[in-house]
Amino acid sequence: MSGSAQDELIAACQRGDKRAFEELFLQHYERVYRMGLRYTGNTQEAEDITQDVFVKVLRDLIQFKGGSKFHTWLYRVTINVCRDKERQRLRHYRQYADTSVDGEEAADGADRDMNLEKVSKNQRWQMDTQELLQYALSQLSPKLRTVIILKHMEELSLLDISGILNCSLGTVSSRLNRGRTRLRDILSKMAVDRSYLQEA
Amino acid sequence: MKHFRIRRHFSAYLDGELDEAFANRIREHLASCAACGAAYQKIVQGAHMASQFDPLPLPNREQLWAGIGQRLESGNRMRAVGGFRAVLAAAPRWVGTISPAIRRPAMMGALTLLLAANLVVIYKILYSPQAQRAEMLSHYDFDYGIYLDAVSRDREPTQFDQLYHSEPVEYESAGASISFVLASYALLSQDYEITDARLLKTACCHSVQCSISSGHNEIVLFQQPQEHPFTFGRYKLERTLIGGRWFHVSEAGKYQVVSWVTSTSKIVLVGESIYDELPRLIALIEQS
Repeated sequence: MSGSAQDELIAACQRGDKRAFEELFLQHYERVYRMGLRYTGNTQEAEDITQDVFVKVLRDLIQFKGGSKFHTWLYRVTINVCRDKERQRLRHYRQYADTSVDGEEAADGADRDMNLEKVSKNQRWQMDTQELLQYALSQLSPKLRTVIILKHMEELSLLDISGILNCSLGTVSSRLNRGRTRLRDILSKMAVDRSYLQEA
Repeated sequence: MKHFRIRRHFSAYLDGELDEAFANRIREHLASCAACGAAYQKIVQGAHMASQFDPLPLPNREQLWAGIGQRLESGNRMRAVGGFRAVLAAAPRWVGTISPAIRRPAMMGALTLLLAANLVVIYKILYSPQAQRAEMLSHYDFDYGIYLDAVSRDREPTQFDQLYHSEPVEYESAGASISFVLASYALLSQDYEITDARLLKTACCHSVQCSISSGHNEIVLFQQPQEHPFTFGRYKLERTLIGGRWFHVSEAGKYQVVSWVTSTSKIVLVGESIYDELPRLIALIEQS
């Protein structure tokens, strides 16, 4: 879609045109959902995130002046919503773990990816490659996870990522270094575990 | 160039996002530094692993869109704290189908009516004749509890006197100055020495307080209009049958309290031994 067509669509949304907003949703919901799903590893949460993002977009679109690309702004909103969700989930998990009598019960009650230490080697063995990748991704800190997703799933340039995250190219490159190295270390360690289990 | 500066840009170098000159410097450094080369290889492997993610299945678009609508609706309900929005949020769905041009004036009218109805109810509660009478009585009744509190502790009933504007009167003239028929002073004075007579005044009526004595037995007699309420504060009166008639009795320290209603007035007697004198006093008071 050309820049001017996108601007017109956004201007229509800002005027309260419901059809225009639906069109905007159709154009962008995939990338928001993809981002949410990669970030959380949970389809239900990814749907929640997508809906939250578009509700926020509708409410805050009036403040969008067009100074940055719309998709840059949309990524920013998505990342913020993802982080908020993760904070909520962590808070919920901690509360649940605090009030639970049994630690195992807490592990059962929270999402699998929030109980990374609880995922046993046997469970990892049963995962397929995609699950292992998602598991390794979920082990990364939010900052590293974000740059990995933006680079490898969204296929954005480092320059675009630096624009979205509002930081320097060097910082993005450095985070990407750490993210890639950490991802490689986690997956290598899991591969060793799998081969060990296979032999056993 | 320091290793740190070189390593910082490995990912940018790998992705081909550096200018040619800087990329060449990194290339040269990698060729000469084994430690940086090893670190770079880890990043390359990590990047390769990260590129293995399969495309994700997409969700049901209609469901997502419907969910956004619901969130917006519930968000509006939550945000609409005042005004028509709050009313609309609480109203049944069919209200939303009415044109705003009709709905708003109608709701405004309904709210005005509701407000007016509330005002009427409040007015009736506060200003009805019953409420006014209750207000008057609550304000003007005689509380003998204040008097009993003082005398039972051997104190002067100063507060009681001040509250009811107690003032000494001539015993003979007291009957003429009050608006109800008092017990016959003439008869009373034949048997009792009247040591003090006072007029108690509230805004709406008067009461007479007489101190009478027979020998060493001193009794204080209050007489007030029958329709006017009185209270005894914390003193609880019990209904007791004496000589075939019902009286209300209580005790305040060493004093006994007896109260009853005649055909014209209410009588309260306070004294140390009233029961012995009661038949004679009743006869004298009611003879009049």
